[in-house]
Amino acid sequence: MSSVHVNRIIDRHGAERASLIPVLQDIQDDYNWISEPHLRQVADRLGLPLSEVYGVASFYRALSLEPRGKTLIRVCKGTACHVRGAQLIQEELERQLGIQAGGTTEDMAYTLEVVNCVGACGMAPVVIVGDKYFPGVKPHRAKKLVQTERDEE
Amino acid sequence: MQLTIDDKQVTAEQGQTLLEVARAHDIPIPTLCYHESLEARGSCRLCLVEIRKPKWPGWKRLVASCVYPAEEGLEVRTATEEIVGIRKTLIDLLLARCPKNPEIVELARAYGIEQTSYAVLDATRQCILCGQCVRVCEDIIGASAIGMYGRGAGKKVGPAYGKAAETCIGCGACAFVCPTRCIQVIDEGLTRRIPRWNVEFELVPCRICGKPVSTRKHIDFVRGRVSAGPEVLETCSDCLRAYYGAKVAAEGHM
Repeated sequence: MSSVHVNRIIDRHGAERASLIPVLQDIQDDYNWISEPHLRQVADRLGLPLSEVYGVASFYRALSLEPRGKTLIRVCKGTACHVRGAQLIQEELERQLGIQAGGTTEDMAYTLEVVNCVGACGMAPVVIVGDKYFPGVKPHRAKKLVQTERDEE
Repeated sequence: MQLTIDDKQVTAEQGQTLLEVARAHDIPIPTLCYHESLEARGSCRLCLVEIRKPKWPGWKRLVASCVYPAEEGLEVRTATEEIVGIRKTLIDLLLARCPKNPEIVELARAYGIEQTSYAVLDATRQCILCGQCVRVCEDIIGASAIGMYGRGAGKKVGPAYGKAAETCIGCGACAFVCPTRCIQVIDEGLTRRIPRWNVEFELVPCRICGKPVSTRKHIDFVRGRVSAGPEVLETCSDCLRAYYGAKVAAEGHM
């Protein structure tokens, strides 16, 4: 019972070794995570050992082997963000969403993640909601980030 | 070509690595991630040596001897104060990772380290993540049953999803190359278990003496690649030797 959609992704990139990362990225984009059946399908179609495909998928932070929420909220806790209060922002978001960092809300709407540096230290502390970057976030504004996101839907 | 290792004049062939040249001349260099049957990776860094070139006075470099090719006129030193200092740090860190592994403990003792000076996070760890088991499984055996997963401090070696290694044939090559001997292959009766990869296999008894030869899966795997029948594949090496020995003695040839 292979996924037609995953097959289409593989056809688009070509069923060869070099397509592995682009294929995994597309699956990640479309499903927000890479399930075991999908990973096996990729290994089968590209003719690669499961151990190798799993190794690649588990290496990159951008690829998730656990289900992720529809919107990914990333709190940067690199040095610059950390000293400017990222910890408080993280705690506020955890309270707002009712989950711990690394967790996903029950309705599968949000996943909260802590990342180590997003290369935007000049805007510290930074929170990224989906693909939007929010600079100079204050803990009380962290609350709004989630609300704005919810209102927009 | 000619070069010197620890002031000793040695001869090397094109393509040999410094480690190979040193070992050929009985000059000891410690290694953990090196195995002669595998392509060298230079990951453990214990085989670090200092190189100098007469034509570049004052220049020197520290390189991993297992991957550095021999060069004409190179001056190699294997145990300067600096190198021994770096090796001690590396061994100290390895000891922090595997404080109870006999191989690592012995290596540390040889360098005068009784206890690690770093924090021990998990005293039960035995694996140094050198990757030799993964490489032998993929490059030599061709089973690719295990891999390296995750990254950084959370890196692990094992089967995908931490489940049973599906393509493992139970050959035991991983245990054979493991420098810390932390992969156990347990044979009981006609069953082989490799608990680290969550696998269990049926062993095939020797057709002559009944002693286990290897796993059914291993024999089937080999059968697909060589032109040998069960009279060879399902006979243990001792009985094969006795059989061919007797044959050569009687007929003068195999």
